[in-house]
Amino acid sequence: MSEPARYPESHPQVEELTDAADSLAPVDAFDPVIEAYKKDVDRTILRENLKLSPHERSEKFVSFMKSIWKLREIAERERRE
Amino acid sequence: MTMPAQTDFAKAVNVLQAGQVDFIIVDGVAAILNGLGFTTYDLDVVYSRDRANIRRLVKCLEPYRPYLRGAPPGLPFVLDEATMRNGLNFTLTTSFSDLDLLGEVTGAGAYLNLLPHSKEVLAFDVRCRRANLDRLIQMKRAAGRPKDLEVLGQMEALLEERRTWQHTSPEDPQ
Repeated sequence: MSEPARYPESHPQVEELTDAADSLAPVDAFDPVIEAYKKDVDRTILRENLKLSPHERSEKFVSFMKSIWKLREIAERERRE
Repeated sequence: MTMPAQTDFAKAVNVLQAGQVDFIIVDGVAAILNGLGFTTYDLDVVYSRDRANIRRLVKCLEPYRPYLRGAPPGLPFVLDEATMRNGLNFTLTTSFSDLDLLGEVTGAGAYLNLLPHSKEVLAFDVRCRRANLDRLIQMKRAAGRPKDLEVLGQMEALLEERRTWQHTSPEDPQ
Protein backbone atom coordinates (compact mmCIF):
# COMPACT_ATOMS: atom_id res chain seq x y z
CA MET A 1 0.00 0.00 0.00
CA SER A 2 1.39 3.35 -0.99
CA GLU A 3 2.04 6.11 1.53
CA PRO A 4 -0.81 8.58 1.75
CA ALA A 5 -0.04 11.94 0.18
CA ARG A 6 1.68 14.13 2.72
CA TYR A 7 -0.21 17.26 3.56
CA PRO A 8 1.94 20.37 3.13
CA GLU A 9 3.58 21.48 6.35
CA SER A 10 2.26 24.95 5.88
CA HIS A 11 -0.61 26.67 4.17
CA PRO A 12 0.19 28.14 0.74
CA GLN A 13 -0.46 31.63 2.03
CA VAL A 14 2.03 31.42 4.89
CA GLU A 15 4.78 33.14 2.89
CA GLU A 16 2.45 36.01 2.06
CA LEU A 17 1.42 36.29 5.69
CA THR A 18 5.05 36.21 6.83
CA ASP A 19 5.75 39.14 4.54
CA ALA A 20 2.67 40.87 5.87
CA ALA A 21 3.89 40.37 9.44
CA ASP A 22 7.29 41.77 8.54
CA SER A 23 5.70 44.85 7.02
CA LEU A 24 3.54 45.59 10.07
CA ALA A 25 3.81 48.98 11.66
CA PRO A 26 6.34 49.08 14.53
CA VAL A 27 4.80 48.11 17.83
CA ASP A 28 5.21 51.63 19.20
CA ALA A 29 3.91 53.45 16.10
CA PHE A 30 1.92 56.49 17.19
CA ASP A 31 -1.85 56.20 16.81
CA PRO A 32 -3.83 59.12 18.26
CA VAL A 33 -6.94 56.97 18.81
CA ILE A 34 -5.04 54.39 20.86
CA GLU A 35 -3.27 57.20 22.72
CA ALA A 36 -6.67 58.57 23.72
CA TYR A 37 -7.62 55.20 25.23
CA LYS A 38 -4.19 54.76 26.81
CA LYS A 39 -4.39 57.86 28.98
CA ASP A 40 -7.34 56.39 30.93
CA VAL A 41 -5.62 53.10 31.75
CA ASP A 42 -5.18 52.37 35.46
CA ARG A 43 -1.47 51.55 35.56
CA THR A 44 -1.51 50.54 39.21
CA ILE A 45 -3.37 47.36 38.18
CA LEU A 46 -0.81 46.69 35.46
CA ARG A 47 2.06 47.13 37.94
CA GLU A 48 0.43 44.78 40.42
CA ASN A 49 0.07 42.18 37.67
CA LEU A 50 3.65 42.67 36.53
CA LYS A 51 4.88 41.77 40.01
CA LEU A 52 3.25 38.34 39.57
CA SER A 53 4.74 35.42 37.67
CA PRO A 54 2.77 34.18 34.64
CA HIS A 55 1.62 31.23 36.78
CA GLU A 56 0.30 33.55 39.48
CA ARG A 57 -1.44 35.61 36.80
CA SER A 58 -3.12 32.45 35.48
CA GLU A 59 -4.27 31.52 39.01
CA LYS A 60 -5.64 35.02 39.58
CA PHE A 61 -7.47 34.86 36.26
CA VAL A 62 -8.96 31.42 36.98
CA SER A 63 -10.09 32.62 40.41
CA PHE A 64 -11.67 35.73 38.87
CA MET A 65 -13.52 33.64 36.28
CA LYS A 66 -14.84 31.37 39.06
CA SER A 67 -16.24 34.47 40.80
CA ILE A 68 -17.95 35.54 37.61
CA TRP A 69 -19.55 32.10 37.26
CA LYS A 70 -20.73 32.18 40.87
CA LEU A 71 -22.33 35.59 40.32
CA ARG A 72 -23.92 34.31 37.15
CA GLU A 73 -25.39 31.32 39.00
CA ILE A 74 -26.78 33.58 41.72
CA ALA A 75 -28.34 35.90 39.13
CA GLU A 76 -29.93 32.97 37.30
CA ARG A 77 -31.26 31.48 40.55
CA GLU A 78 -32.82 34.80 41.53
CA ARG A 79 -34.36 35.20 38.10
CA ARG A 80 -36.01 31.77 38.42
CA GLU A 81 -37.42 32.46 41.90
CA MET B 1 -21.54 38.71 24.08
CA THR B 2 -22.93 35.24 24.74
CA MET B 3 -21.25 33.53 27.66
CA PRO B 4 -20.19 29.94 27.09
CA ALA B 5 -21.51 27.11 29.23
CA GLN B 6 -18.05 26.53 30.72
CA THR B 7 -14.74 28.38 30.87
CA ASP B 8 -12.18 26.06 32.40
CA PHE B 9 -9.09 27.49 30.73
CA ALA B 10 -6.74 25.50 32.96
CA LYS B 11 -8.40 22.30 31.75
CA ALA B 12 -8.16 23.46 28.13
CA VAL B 13 -4.45 24.22 28.34
CA ASN B 14 -3.75 21.02 30.28
CA VAL B 15 -5.62 18.90 27.71
CA LEU B 16 -3.62 20.38 24.84
CA GLN B 17 -0.34 20.03 26.73
CA ALA B 18 -1.03 16.44 27.81
CA GLY B 19 -1.87 15.66 24.18
CA GLN B 20 1.61 16.96 23.19
CA VAL B 21 0.03 19.49 20.83
CA ASP B 22 2.27 22.24 19.46
CA PHE B 23 0.33 25.44 20.13
CA ILE B 24 0.81 29.07 21.15
CA ILE B 25 -1.72 30.92 23.27
CA VAL B 26 -2.73 34.23 21.68
CA ASP B 27 -5.27 37.01 22.15
CA GLY B 28 -6.98 37.57 25.52
CA VAL B 29 -5.45 34.77 27.59
CA ALA B 30 -1.97 35.54 26.21
CA ALA B 31 -2.48 39.20 27.14
CA ILE B 32 -3.46 38.15 30.67
CA LEU B 33 -0.34 35.96 30.96
CA ASN B 34 1.65 39.03 29.87
CA GLY B 35 0.13 41.02 32.74
CA LEU B 36 -3.04 42.63 31.41
CA GLY B 37 -5.96 43.02 33.82
CA PHE B 38 -8.68 41.78 31.57
CA THR B 39 -11.28 39.09 31.17
CA THR B 40 -12.12 36.80 28.27
CA TYR B 41 -14.44 33.89 27.65
CA ASP B 42 -12.53 31.87 25.11
CA LEU B 43 -9.07 30.44 24.62
CA ASP B 44 -7.41 31.23 21.29
CA VAL B 45 -4.44 29.17 20.17
CA VAL B 46 -2.36 29.09 17.01
CA TYR B 47 -1.66 25.43 16.29
CA SER B 48 0.96 23.83 14.07
CA ARG B 49 -0.48 22.54 10.79
CA ASP B 50 2.01 19.69 10.81
CA ARG B 51 0.16 16.47 10.02
CA ALA B 52 1.24 14.70 13.21
CA ASN B 53 0.24 17.70 15.29
CA ILE B 54 -3.22 17.79 13.73
CA ARG B 55 -3.57 14.10 14.60
CA ARG B 56 -2.60 14.76 18.22
CA LEU B 57 -4.93 17.76 18.42
CA VAL B 58 -7.93 15.83 17.12
CA LYS B 59 -7.21 12.90 19.43
CA CYS B 60 -6.87 14.96 22.60
CA LEU B 61 -10.01 17.04 21.94
CA GLU B 62 -12.25 14.16 20.92
CA PRO B 63 -13.45 13.26 24.48
CA TYR B 64 -14.53 16.89 25.02
CA ARG B 65 -17.10 16.98 22.21
CA PRO B 66 -15.76 19.83 20.05
CA TYR B 67 -18.53 21.46 18.02
CA LEU B 68 -18.86 24.57 15.88
CA ARG B 69 -19.65 27.56 18.07
CA GLY B 70 -22.87 29.32 17.14
CA ALA B 71 -23.99 26.57 14.77
CA PRO B 72 -27.39 24.93 15.28
CA PRO B 73 -27.23 21.61 17.12
CA GLY B 74 -27.36 18.38 15.18
CA LEU B 75 -25.10 19.28 12.27
CA PRO B 76 -22.98 16.35 11.04
CA PHE B 77 -19.80 18.09 12.21
CA VAL B 78 -16.90 15.96 13.36
CA LEU B 79 -13.54 17.49 14.23
CA ASP B 80 -11.35 14.85 12.59
CA GLU B 81 -8.08 15.05 10.68
CA ALA B 82 -9.80 15.54 7.32
CA THR B 83 -11.92 18.39 8.68
CA MET B 84 -8.87 20.08 10.13
CA ARG B 85 -6.84 19.68 6.97
CA ASN B 86 -9.68 21.04 4.83
CA GLY B 87 -10.19 24.02 7.13
CA LEU B 88 -7.86 26.43 8.83
CA ASN B 89 -9.43 28.39 11.67
CA PHE B 90 -12.11 26.81 13.87
CA THR B 91 -14.25 28.49 16.52
CA LEU B 92 -15.43 25.70 18.76
CA THR B 93 -17.31 24.91 21.90
CA THR B 94 -16.01 22.05 24.02
CA SER B 95 -17.11 20.64 27.37
CA PHE B 96 -14.36 22.65 29.11
CA SER B 97 -14.48 26.05 27.34
CA ASP B 98 -14.89 27.84 24.07
CA LEU B 99 -11.77 27.22 22.04
CA ASP B 100 -10.52 28.92 18.88
CA LEU B 101 -8.03 26.86 16.89
CA LEU B 102 -6.19 29.16 14.50
CA GLY B 103 -4.04 27.82 11.67
CA GLU B 104 -3.07 31.37 10.76
CA VAL B 105 -3.74 34.72 12.30
CA THR B 106 -3.68 38.22 10.82
CA GLY B 107 -0.42 39.96 11.56
CA ALA B 108 1.36 36.87 12.86
CA GLY B 109 0.99 34.18 10.21
CA ALA B 110 1.15 30.50 11.11
CA TYR B 111 2.60 28.62 14.09
CA LEU B 112 6.18 28.64 12.80
CA ASN B 113 6.00 32.37 12.04
CA LEU B 114 4.77 33.13 15.53
CA LEU B 115 7.14 30.75 17.33
CA PRO B 116 10.09 33.21 17.49
CA HIS B 117 7.69 35.81 18.94
CA SER B 118 6.52 33.61 21.79
CA LYS B 119 7.90 32.42 25.12
CA GLU B 120 7.41 29.28 27.16
CA VAL B 121 6.03 30.05 30.61
CA LEU B 122 4.63 28.14 33.56
CA ALA B 123 0.90 28.87 33.63
CA PHE B 124 -2.23 26.89 34.50
CA ASP B 125 0.11 24.37 36.20
CA VAL B 126 1.86 23.41 32.96
CA ARG B 127 4.58 24.79 30.75
CA CYS B 128 3.00 26.34 27.69
CA ARG B 129 3.76 28.97 25.08
CA ARG B 130 2.21 32.40 24.93
CA ALA B 131 2.69 35.07 22.27
CA ASN B 132 4.86 38.03 23.28
CA LEU B 133 3.14 41.30 24.09
CA ASP B 134 4.66 43.25 21.21
CA ARG B 135 3.43 40.70 18.68
CA LEU B 136 -0.02 40.62 20.33
CA ILE B 137 -0.22 44.39 19.86
CA GLN B 138 0.80 44.09 16.22
CA MET B 139 -1.81 41.35 15.68
CA LYS B 140 -4.55 43.47 17.23
CA ARG B 141 -3.53 46.50 15.18
CA ALA B 142 -3.45 44.43 11.99
CA ALA B 143 -6.93 43.04 12.71
CA GLY B 144 -8.18 46.65 12.69
CA ARG B 145 -11.36 46.01 14.68
CA PRO B 146 -12.88 49.03 16.43
CA LYS B 147 -13.81 46.84 19.41
CA ASP B 148 -10.10 46.20 20.04
CA LEU B 149 -9.14 49.86 20.46
CA GLU B 150 -9.73 49.99 24.20
CA VAL B 151 -7.78 46.81 24.88
CA LEU B 152 -5.03 48.06 22.54
CA GLY B 153 -4.69 51.13 24.76
CA GLN B 154 -4.29 48.82 27.77
CA MET B 155 -1.79 46.60 25.97
CA GLU B 156 0.35 49.53 24.88
CA ALA B 157 0.29 50.97 28.39
CA LEU B 158 1.37 47.54 29.65
CA LEU B 159 4.22 47.46 27.14
CA GLU B 160 5.42 50.86 28.39
CA GLU B 161 5.25 49.64 31.99
CA ARG B 162 7.16 46.47 31.13
CA ARG B 163 9.90 48.54 29.51
CA THR B 164 10.27 51.13 32.25
CA TRP B 165 9.06 49.65 35.52
CA GLN B 166 11.75 47.81 37.47
CA HIS B 167 9.73 45.30 39.49
CA THR B 168 8.46 42.87 36.86
CA SER B 169 8.53 39.26 38.03
CA PRO B 170 11.86 37.60 37.16
CA GLU B 171 9.86 34.56 36.05
CA ASP B 172 8.27 36.61 33.27
CA PRO B 173 10.38 36.42 30.09
CA GLN B 174 10.25 39.52 27.88
